[in-house]
Order: sequence, then structure tokens, then C-alpha cells
Amino acid sequence: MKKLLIILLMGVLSISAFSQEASLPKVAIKTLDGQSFSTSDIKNDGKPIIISFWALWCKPCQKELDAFNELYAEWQEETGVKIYAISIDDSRSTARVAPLVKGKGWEFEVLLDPNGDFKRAMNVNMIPHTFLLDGNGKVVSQHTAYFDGAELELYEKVKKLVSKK
Amino acid sequence: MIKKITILAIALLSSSLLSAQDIFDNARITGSFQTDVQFYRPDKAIGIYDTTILGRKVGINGYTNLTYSLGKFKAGLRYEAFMTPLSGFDPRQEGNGFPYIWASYSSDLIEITAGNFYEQFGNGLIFRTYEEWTLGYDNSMNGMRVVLYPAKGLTLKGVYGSQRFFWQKYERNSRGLVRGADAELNLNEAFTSFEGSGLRLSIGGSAVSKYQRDADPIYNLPENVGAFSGRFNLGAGNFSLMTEYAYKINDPSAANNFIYQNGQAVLSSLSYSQKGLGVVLQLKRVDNFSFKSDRTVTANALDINFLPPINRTHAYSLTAKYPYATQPNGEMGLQFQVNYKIPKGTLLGGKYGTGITLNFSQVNDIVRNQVNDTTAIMESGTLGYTSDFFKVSDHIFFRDFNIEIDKRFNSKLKGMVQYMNLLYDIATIEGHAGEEAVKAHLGVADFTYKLSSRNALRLEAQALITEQDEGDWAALMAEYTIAPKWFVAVADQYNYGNPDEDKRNHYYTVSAGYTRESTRLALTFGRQNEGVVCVGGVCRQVPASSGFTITLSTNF
Amino acid sequence: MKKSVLGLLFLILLGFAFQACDKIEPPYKEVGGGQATDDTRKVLLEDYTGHTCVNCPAAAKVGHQLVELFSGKVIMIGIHAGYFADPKPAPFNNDYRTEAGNAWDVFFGMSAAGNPIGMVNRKSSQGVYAITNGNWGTEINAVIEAKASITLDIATEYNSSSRSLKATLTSKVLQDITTALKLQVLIVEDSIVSAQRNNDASIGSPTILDYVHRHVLRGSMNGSWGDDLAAAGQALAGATFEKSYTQTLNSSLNEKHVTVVAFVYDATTYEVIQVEEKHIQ
Repeated sequence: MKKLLIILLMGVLSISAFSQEASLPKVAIKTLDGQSFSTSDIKNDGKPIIISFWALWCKPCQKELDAFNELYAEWQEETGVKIYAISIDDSRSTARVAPLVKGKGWEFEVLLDPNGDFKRAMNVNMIPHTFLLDGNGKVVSQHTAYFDGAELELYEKVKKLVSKK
Repeated sequence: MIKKITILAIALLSSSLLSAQDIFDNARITGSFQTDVQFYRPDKAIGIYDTTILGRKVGINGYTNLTYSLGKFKAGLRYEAFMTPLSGFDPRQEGNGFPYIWASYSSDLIEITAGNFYEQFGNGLIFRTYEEWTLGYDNSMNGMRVVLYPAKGLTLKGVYGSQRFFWQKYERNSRGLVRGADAELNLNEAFTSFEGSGLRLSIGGSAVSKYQRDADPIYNLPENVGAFSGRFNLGAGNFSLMTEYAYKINDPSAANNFIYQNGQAVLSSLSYSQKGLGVVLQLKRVDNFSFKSDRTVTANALDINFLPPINRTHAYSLTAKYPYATQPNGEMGLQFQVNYKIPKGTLLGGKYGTGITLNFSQVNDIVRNQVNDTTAIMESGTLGYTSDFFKVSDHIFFRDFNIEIDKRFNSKLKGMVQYMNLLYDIATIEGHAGEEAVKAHLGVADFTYKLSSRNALRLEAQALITEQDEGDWAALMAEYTIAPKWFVAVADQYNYGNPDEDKRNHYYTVSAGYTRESTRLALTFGRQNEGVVCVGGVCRQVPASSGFTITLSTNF
Repeated sequence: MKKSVLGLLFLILLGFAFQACDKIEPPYKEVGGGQATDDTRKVLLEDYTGHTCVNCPAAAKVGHQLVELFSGKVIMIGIHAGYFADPKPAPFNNDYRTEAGNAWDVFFGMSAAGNPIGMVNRKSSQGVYAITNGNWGTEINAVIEAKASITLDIATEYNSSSRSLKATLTSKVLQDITTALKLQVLIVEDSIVSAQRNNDASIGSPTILDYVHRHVLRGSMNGSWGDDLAAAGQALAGATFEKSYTQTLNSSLNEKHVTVVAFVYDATTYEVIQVEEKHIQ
């Protein structure tokens, strides 16, 4: 019996070893108008990706995203980096996210994670929490908290990623 | 026997060395860690003596989260230790262990989770389990979940289990069981013919039922209580409309004073957005909709559903001092918000544009009528009341009008000013029966000046002016940051208008922090104001505290 | 294919809807009852309360319904302890706290869990003694039919002029009890009229100036944790024990409303195994 179990176990392990997985956990979240979106669709054709967790009640988060927004056009032109802002607001405030995003004129993609599923999958404790992914979708660096000017350091890292290729 | 197994295992291992190598390449362990430590000290000015601390000089909350993933298989756990919990947390949090352990398998067709999980159906009106570390709230399910993707655009979910109640294990009949199912269909994905219509539409429906034994000698209680909801999300051009309606059959409980009325809840929002402009209107009605997996629990625990308060969540200490909490026994509310950015280069917009946010929300009681002449409204063991769906009571629970303007003046200076007018029925929301509703004017100014590309100074000033409760408050804060690693801040909140002159205290804090990558260490020294909070029929005193706090968190 | 999936789903949901609902028709209340006899094991209901606790009058009301429902079998005491029992500016300047009540409040984790809260026979589940008022009935129901293993009889002598109160407690063991037993004797005053905060409209206004506080614990005749009644292994069937206590009644108490409440409890688990009460006049 035990033998059988071990064989079975080894079998399972070696089979699953062949199934490749992208580095980003696959979680079902929502777009700004409430349609479903899978995090496995977070892609940028081999170029770097920035994922930033934020919420309406978090002032530093919005400061960070404002700072990103001011530089986004320039960044995209130079490196092709793509930004995804993930709002962890729950149903008490999801309805106010889209108006704020449009009102602020943010150019990047904003997604909703109303029950914190993506947040948990990415092990985010506190926000703002920003991840930098390389072209293969692998997390190369991450940072919590935002202070004015921190976007410059992040962009240095983005440039390094692009020049490595 | 053992030897044989070992040999076999080694043989298998070596024969599959190649794939084993792959296993270690592909398997990943990620996780996070956080701990908050507070050292308390007596502070006579704000009423903390050695006797109030009672030898409880240190409070520590901490957790570690681990997730293992290998292909389609994932498993995880969280260890928590509250020894003893920080001041202000429910004392039933005290304990240590693994409250969250799970394993899951997922493919394109099916996803199975065994153990503890968090889930939400729709907006959560009839089912939502979640955790909020900072509040010490966790109502995770302990059971099984299946998610099916049988056809493109269609998602089916089924869940059952018991819920977490602090550290008390589930035992037969010790509390209720929860089971539920949800279906959501995204028409744009499901039907290619729908694509051309220019609409974005998804519809969904769910049903949740709880079982709890009835052994009550006074009431004849329903052992199975069902709740149902339907919802849709419609997008057309720049417009978007979302509505969810939920219904629940008789569910007498301590939260609704054991009345047998059915429950209803509606949440609807309509929004319009284009570049530079966003508008949203939201409506809500809640009628007898507390839904807990133990009918006798009144505290903030064992909730099956989540009734979102729809007013704006404020981000400054004084504007957030009087937060609204949904009244599950009945309320009607609306919210309206406009976000507008005055374009660059215009007279008011200036060089960088000016952002304006205008927000209004109001929540009133519902109208309740007597069932008959002999039954008092909300009398236990009766239907309780009847209520007209469209009638709004004159009793205002909460009203908040606020306007916020943010502007960048030049490359170095940017700032924000906010005005807020508040009406807060403290008797209902915090259970301070007999106290007058708080009417307050609030103002906030928040300016950041960049000294260099990485150094910035931020100043924040707030005022709260009211005749009621603790009277007037003023708050000041200065923060100096060196991106991306360092910050220091000093802050003071001064209750200068407290009607009791002995309580005109300063609540000062000094804090500093260091962040590197995702590791953060913060130190705070100062005072915390006391408060009494009554949620769902239970009152708890959140004591004033004074002392030193350390927060360390990281993730990997 | 899609239609059939949806149809099936609809049927499942519909089935779920009918299976998983118990629609209750009136009357919603049940009728309880039964009479106390000699070998009835009476039940002690402790209500931890305070005059500034808004939810407490509703809990006291539930306690009373239970005392009436199980007439003569449930003995309730109201214990003022914790933050909400602290004396405050008038009209909340009364102090009904007692040394014993404060000690129990801390030891059993009562007000720390939030008022109103209580205990039924001081029984614990997974180390938790606190029971919310919605569960008092269920917990009482679970133990109400148990037979007594020990009797408890209270005899009192009271002298109105000297206000001297003597209580004599007699116990007879009916079935062998292996653990050590302790005896606690309390002074309880009923119907004290003073202010109370409230949020149950069917009881009264938010501040009730003439609220009637029922069976308020006013003190102990033998300390916070009582006296030893029998050592482990001593309480064999047929054994009898007698103890007596004398105390001068505090002048603030209305002698017409004073009762002696006594209970025998298991010295290791604190579970109350018999309780009795007697008016002093």
C-alpha cells in the first residue's frame, strides 16, 4: 500500500513538473466596469511591467500613481514599460474607483481586486506596494511605501532591465 | 519493509532525477511576515495608571504567511500569534496557531480548494469572507470550494464549511454551517454575436444557506435560513450601471432582536466617465439584513455577508474620526461624487491642471410600521414591523458633504485642501444612547515641498469644529522623507475644545521608518485616544494607550 | 449545450432554495415550564452588566424571560463590573461594583469580551466562559433537565434593628462527587431604582432615570471565591455538610429586597452544581 502511495506521489510530482507556470499567480479579478479579468493576461510582449497595489483611502498610493502618470508617456516611449494599478478597494468603494481614475486622467490600466485575492496571492501586507516584473513576468524587485521621488529609483531599475537585453 | 520503501524511493528518485530537478526549478515558496509590538506605559494625563495596564505591558500581534506553488497545485498557511493582542483588539484574539491552511488545484476547467478560503459572491451582499489584519477581522471559511469554468464566459462556484470565530474550533452544533452557490455569465465572452452590440453585460445570481440547530427554549427558530441574490453589470460607451438585489427569509437573531421579518438589500450604482471627468451616483437600501452563521453572536464576527457602507472613506485622522458603519437592521442611503480635472493651460487649471473632487452622501433610517396594534415595533418573537420599500425616515444617521481641490503649483510644490461638513448620529452608530448627533465642520490642508529630487517635506493641518461629543480638535503633522528609504514625522492632535477641561489633552506622536525593497521597519512613540465602540449590540471600550510601537514587515 | 448547462444550474438553485429554507409560521414563541422538585438541579445565570451599557437592558429582559419560563429553576444575578459599571457624572454616579464581582469579571474574561455577557452555571467551552445573551436560553435548556447530585438549603435569621444577618447552609450529597467542592454565599438586592442607559425602544428611552435593576450582587458573605465545602473524594452519597455565616447588612441596602444566593461549585472547573436563593424576611 505504502509503495503504491509513493509511486503515485512520484508520478504526480513528475507529471506536474512538466506543466509550466508563469511567475504571476493566476487569479480572477475585475476590470473597472465590473467584467472579469484574469491576472494571467497581465502581459507586455517581453517588456517590463510595473504592478502597483493601491486604494482610495490610501493617500501615498495616489501620490505614487500621480507621479507615475506624469512620467508615463515619457517612460513608455523610452522603455515600453507598462503599468497596472490594482485597486484593493472592496465593494464599499469600488463604484468610486473608475470616476477617480478618469477624473485624475490616469493613462495606465487600472483593475479591481475587491476581495483581496490578488493581494493575498502576491503576499502584499500594506499598500502602496509596487512590483517590477521583467519581460518574462518574473518579479525582479518590489517596494512598499511611497515617498516623493521614489519613482526615479524605480525607473532606474526599469532602464537597467531594458538595457540588459 | 521500511528498507524496501527507502530503496524504492531512492530508485524512483534517481530514475526521475531529471524531473526532480524540474520540480525544484518550478516549485516556488513565497510569503510575508508582519509583527506589531507595543510597549505600554502609565500616562496619568490621559487616564492610564499602573492599575489600568494590570501588568499587561507588552502587546504583540504577528503573522507569517507562506504559499507553495508547483504547476497547477498550490498550498499555503498562515501562522498567527496575538500574545497578548494589542490594546484595542478583541481580547478573544489572544492565542496562537494556524488559522489558515489550504491546498488547491486549478486547471482551465476546474479549481478546487480544500481548507480555509476567502470568497465573495457579487458585491458580497449575501456572501463574503475576508480578512482585515489592521482591524483583527477574519471570517474565513473552513471547508471546500469548487469553481467551474464549463463554457467561455461562464463561472460557477460552490462553497460549504464553517467560519472562523477567533480561536474557537468548530465542534458539532457549536455554531452554524454555511453553504452557497454562485453563477456568473459574461455575455460578451459567451456569445460572439453579442460583441457587435456595443454593450458590455454580465449577469449573476447566488444562493446561500446556513444551518444552525434550534435548542432555544423561548423561540421556535428556523434551523435553515436561505438568502438569494441577483445582479447585473451593464456598460454602454462611457456609462456603466451595476445593480444587485438580495433577499433573505426569516432569520431571527440577537442582531435583529429575534424578529421574524424577511430581509432585503439593494445596491445600485450608475457612473459616467470620460478623460478628466468621472461621475457616480449610488443608491442603497438595507432592511433587516444581518446574516451571521451564529444567530446569537452580536459582535463583529461570523458575518456571512458584507453590507458595504457607501460613503467616502476618509484618509486623514480627523476626517476619519467619525466613520459610518452600515446599520444592518435598516437604512437607506445615496452617494454622489464628481471627479473633475480642470485642464492644463486654462485660467483655473494653470500649468499643471487642477483636480476637484466633490462628494455627498446621506444615510437615513427606513420607515417601520407596527404589524398590529398590540405589537411594539421590533418586539422580539413577532414579525417586528412592516416597511414601505420607497419610504425614507426623517431620522438621519449620517451625512457627509466634502469638496477637495488638489493642485501642483510648480515642480517643487503641490498641495490639497479639503472642506467637509458632517452630521453623525453618534447614538445610533456608536451606541452612545442619549447623546446628541455630532455636527461638525472640518478642514484639511496638505502640502508637499520637494527640496531635491529625493527629499521632500510634507505639512498637514486639520481642524474639526463641533459643539458635540469631545468638542473641537486641531491636528498638525510634519513629515520629512528621503526617497525611497527613510521617513521621520511628528504629529499632534489637540482636543482644545473638550467640554471637560481636564480632558483637553495633546495626543502627540513621533515616528520614524526605514524601508528597503519590501521590508519596512517603523517606530512610533506617542498617545492614542480612547473610544467606546458598540457594534451589533455589543459595546467594547477601546482604551487610551500610551507608549512605544514597533512594526516590522516584509515579504518574499 | 450552453442552454442545458444554464437550465441545470437554474434547477439546482431552485432546489437549493426550497430545501435549505425553514419558513417559520406563527406562533414564534414556544411554551416552556415544568416545576422544581427536591432533586432539581437549579441553574445559575450570571448577567455581567453596567449602568452605562446601552445593550444591557435588553439582555436583562431576556434573562427575566428565562427565569419566568423555567419558573423556580433558574436563579439570576446581575453583576455590575467593568468599564460600563464605573461611576460617572450624575445620574450615573452609583457604584454597584463589588469586590467579588470585579474578581470574577477579570478571571472569567467577561466585560473584556464586551457587555452584556454572562455565564450559565460557569460552564466553559474550549476555555471560554463568556456566553452572549442570545445563547443563554440554549445553554440553560441544555442543562435544565439534569438531576441534582447535591442539595442546598438556606436558612436565614435576620434582626431588623441590628441589621444582623445569619445564613445557615445545609447540603446533602445525593450521588458521589469525586472532585473538591466549594461553597459561595452572596448577598443580592432586588429592584434597585436608578439610572440606566438603554437602546431598546420597547424597554424605554435612551436614558431611563427610574430603571429597575433586578437581583444586583451587593457583596459576598465568604470572600470572592467562597469556602471549601468538601475535599476531593469526601462528598459521598449521604454525606451532609453545614456552614453558617453572619454579617451586618450595609445600611444602603433595602432589607425588604435582600436575598441570600448560595451555590456549590466544583473547585477545579468552577462549574456550579447546585444553587439556591432565599429572601431574608
